[in-house]
Amino acid sequence: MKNLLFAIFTLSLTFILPASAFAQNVDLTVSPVFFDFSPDPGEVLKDKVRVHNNTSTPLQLTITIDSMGVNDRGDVVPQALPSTENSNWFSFTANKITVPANEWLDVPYTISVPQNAAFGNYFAITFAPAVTKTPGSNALVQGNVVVPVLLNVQKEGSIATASIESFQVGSFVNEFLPVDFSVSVKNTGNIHLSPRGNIFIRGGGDKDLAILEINSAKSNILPNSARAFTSKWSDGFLVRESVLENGVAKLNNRGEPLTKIVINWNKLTNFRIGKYTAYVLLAYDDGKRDVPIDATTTFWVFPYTAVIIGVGLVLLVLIGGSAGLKAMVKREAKKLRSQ
Amino acid sequence: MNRPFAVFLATAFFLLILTPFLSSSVHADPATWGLVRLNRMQAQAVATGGTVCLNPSASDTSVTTIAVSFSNGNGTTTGFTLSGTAADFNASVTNLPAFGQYPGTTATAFPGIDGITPVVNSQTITYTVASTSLTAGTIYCFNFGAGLTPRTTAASDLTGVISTNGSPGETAIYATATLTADQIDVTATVPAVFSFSLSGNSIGFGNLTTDTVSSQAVTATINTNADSGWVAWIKNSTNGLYSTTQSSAIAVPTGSYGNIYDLATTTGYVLDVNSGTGSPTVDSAYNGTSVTEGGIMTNIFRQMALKTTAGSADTFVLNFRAKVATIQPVASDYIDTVTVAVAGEY
Repeated sequence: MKNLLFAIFTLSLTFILPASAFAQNVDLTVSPVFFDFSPDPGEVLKDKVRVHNNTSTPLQLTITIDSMGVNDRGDVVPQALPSTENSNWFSFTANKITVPANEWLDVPYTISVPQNAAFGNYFAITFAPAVTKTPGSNALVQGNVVVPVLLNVQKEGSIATASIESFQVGSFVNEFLPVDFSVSVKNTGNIHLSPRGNIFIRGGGDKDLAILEINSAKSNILPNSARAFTSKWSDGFLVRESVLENGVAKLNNRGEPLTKIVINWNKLTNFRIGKYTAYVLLAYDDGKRDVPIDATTTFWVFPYTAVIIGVGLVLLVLIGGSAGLKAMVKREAKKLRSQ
Repeated sequence: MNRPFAVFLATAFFLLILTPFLSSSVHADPATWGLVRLNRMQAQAVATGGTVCLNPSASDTSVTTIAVSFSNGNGTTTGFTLSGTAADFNASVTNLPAFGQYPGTTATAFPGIDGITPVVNSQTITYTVASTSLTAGTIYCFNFGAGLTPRTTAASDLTGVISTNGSPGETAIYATATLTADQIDVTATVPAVFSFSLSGNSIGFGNLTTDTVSSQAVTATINTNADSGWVAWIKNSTNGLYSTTQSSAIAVPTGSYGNIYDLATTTGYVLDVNSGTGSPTVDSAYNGTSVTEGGIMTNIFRQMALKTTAGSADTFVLNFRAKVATIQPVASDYIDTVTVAVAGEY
């Protein structure tokens, strides 16, 4: 009888367990990474996202459309489409798809741009796997993959303007290279922009000691948002580098990255010391011409540890030499006196 | 014997007797083979060089010249035009063909020809070398410079002759052609791709206590060849870690999003993100510096981590931490839904 009850219990479990089997770890590849369109009002765009299921079991995905908006902190994040916005710009053949194991699946879509569409429209195609609660868990972690869609509708009235919010150096006084730069550019227009340019570093003279790329990847800035572009000046004799372990930066007890000083003997002439000026010059296309924006900052490179050791050594040699000289003079004077 | 047959036999006999004399009158043996391989075969009126090879059928001694003739085609639009500048045809012996199609055969540089400027006469170029001997079965090759221009109309059966002046002298007839197009353009596009995986999709804290910070981790892994890198966001449910039966949530620390809280000195439910492989940048709102710290999740997406360059197996670890106050209602159904969204940077 006990065996029978156990068998019935086990059998009943088999009807319950499959529900948890649908809890899937996301492992997904999408291509392309984002779309950038410049349609006319009323135009119908057709394209596709390729989705690859990297797992060995079929992956169920729900497709949703969100907007890419700027939050209260100025970050661009996926947001639910405002209820007033016509989210039916997008249409898919199905909003739920199953991607076969280890296979690519083309997900075609159509965008019907309304005649009265605004200038810059920013969407997120979100692929969300089906996730259900597993027994004993307190938090479900859903991993969604987002493919941004940038739509710059071609019509009169678009404004392409940007300004440099800040141009900062990581530290005003740097003992060693690299020196980190951060340029924050604010898009003050109504269409997305992709400013690009260089940072020119000079010492006391007029010669550029280094020219660094800014936004060589042509990243976009959405309207009313700012984006920080970073660059490093690391072309020097003494350079501080992160200590890596299996490709990961090692951290100290305080969670800060461990570093080491690397001496580049082939760059002895690039010994950096003194005050430097960094000039950033970016340009963006406003539809008619390239518009330049620029900013300047200054910083110091002063390898004080090396300088202190060097000065100490020089003093040591001078003091030692002076003492030796005095001793020699005394000795010779004594000899003369004894003669 | 009838008369026609007798005439045939007499003629055959006569020719048989004459054969040795006829062959000696041309002073050359047919070579086993010879070839001219052009660097470009496109009929585009652009000068090209090539390689000449000769495989003598017999020992050829006292060789002082080797001549190569090129087809004149129809004299205007097909065949080849030779440069009037002899130095354009200068010989070289580097990178000679290996003749992989003939097992066991490798090219030998034609003796003494390296750097020699030939004499150009009409459709023939003649190189003069110091007296040398060629061995039967050895493949002798040399390159000639870009003095040969295929004329504008493609043609086949463009024959020429390679000959030496040695004893007995070797002669080979070769055939080549010119083509409308002799190159294949190979193009390819590497599309931008973005991969994302999570090591798990559930967090089980077990029994939460008032004196110990419970932590559970999920690792996110990202691969992308997009130059601009990637960005990751996070949000959780409106009620956070909430018990339906008790209608109670495990409170977040008193404060606001953007600050880091240490559960060693307070209670609540927070997220701490640690940078891993590829050193992605963790947003300050979730960049705790100890195993008891973390920041507050909200029910709208917040930026969590990013990287501004392409990444290979970039990782970051999401550490969910919780510690309860003594007044937290007892329940076993505290649950939250956390959504991690990632995208390649645009």
